[in-house]
Amino acid sequence: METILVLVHNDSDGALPKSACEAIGAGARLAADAGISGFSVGVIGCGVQPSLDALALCGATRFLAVDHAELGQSRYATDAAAAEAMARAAGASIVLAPMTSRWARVLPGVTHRLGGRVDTHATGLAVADGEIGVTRWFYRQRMEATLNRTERPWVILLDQGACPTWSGAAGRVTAEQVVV
Amino acid sequence: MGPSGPGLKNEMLLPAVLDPWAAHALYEAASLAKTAAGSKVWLVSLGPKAKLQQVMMTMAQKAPFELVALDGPASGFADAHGTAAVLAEAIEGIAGLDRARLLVFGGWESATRCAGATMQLVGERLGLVDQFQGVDRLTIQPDGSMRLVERIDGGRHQVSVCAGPPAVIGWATGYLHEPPNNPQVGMANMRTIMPALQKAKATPIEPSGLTFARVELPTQVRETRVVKDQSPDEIAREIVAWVQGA
Repeated sequence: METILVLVHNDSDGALPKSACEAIGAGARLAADAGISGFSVGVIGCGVQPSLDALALCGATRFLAVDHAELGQSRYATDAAAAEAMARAAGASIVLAPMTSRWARVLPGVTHRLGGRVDTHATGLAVADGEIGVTRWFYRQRMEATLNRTERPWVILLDQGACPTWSGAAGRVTAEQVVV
Repeated sequence: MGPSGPGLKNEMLLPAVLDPWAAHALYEAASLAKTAAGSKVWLVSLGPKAKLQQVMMTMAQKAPFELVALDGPASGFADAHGTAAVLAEAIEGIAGLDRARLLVFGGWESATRCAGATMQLVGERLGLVDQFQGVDRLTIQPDGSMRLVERIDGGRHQVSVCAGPPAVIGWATGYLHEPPNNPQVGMANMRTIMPALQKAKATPIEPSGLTFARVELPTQVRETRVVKDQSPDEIAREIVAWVQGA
């Protein structure tokens, strides 16, 4: 049984990027398709409570947060430390994240620290015969492939615009604070 | 699809060129080395030996460097993790490399796979925690620190200051022009390139748990038409209709 973590960050203005809600939607759908009861959402940044509250009704069964002033700016060393701590705290076997420039810079390195594997520019997620498959392009969009991996954790960066955006009402979330 | 995974039937017939962003990284490295006394550029390159030889016929004339050749796959289906492992091992094997002053330059993504992950994985294997991706400009400041301009979302740039090496820098286009061919540089480079190619050891990428369930050409193909005097609105409407599969 997989454990899914949707890992998002807020922007310097405190708001969630639109692609974060796409990743949330993809996580909810993947959990449902794979028959997994619930998924986790991890938010990293500075002043993340409004972002957590905005995702209150997304269907996640667990919320985690790394909230620190140092994460108000995008920087490899601090972002990598936070993302690594978050993934370990969640015990995630599948980490879904939006392909923002911030995550694209840092999550491959985090995957190495976790002993996992990463796939970027994913344009689709599907479950077939109980296996999760990722669709992405090769050779400058001339070839499309569906691939899967046995190694875990498997970090999947979803291209922006590839998945429907989750939207819902805000609420109040009390997240587990992950110490970095 | 072969026993070792997918591949192109005509892979060896594709043009032998250094990946565009990797080439820019080389030009930037050579330009920086010229301004910093005592610096030296090594080009660590993984690919089929025959292809590397063809690539070097051009690249050797562009900038002075010492080649570290790895005879292995350069396919778009080669996994970034395995590729990073052999590249990092090759870098660690370079004699006389000052790891405390090391700048690892490379293209932030390749044209074939577009993973955008290999540089970060190489950096982590080498213990480098200052990393920048999609870099368009690097300026050495009077105090020795590095000012870096990175591409970020929304067509914007992020400006960072890093105290200095060691660091990993994944280059985007940069601001330098492609250097003109310089036969003298080419001849000097060839003295080390030919031995490097001759002793390039076979470097297979370690198999991983990666499986390709399906690889195919896109089913939706757009036929090119030449139409004169069509308004932008009409063009946009037609493209949207095509995207929507109408």
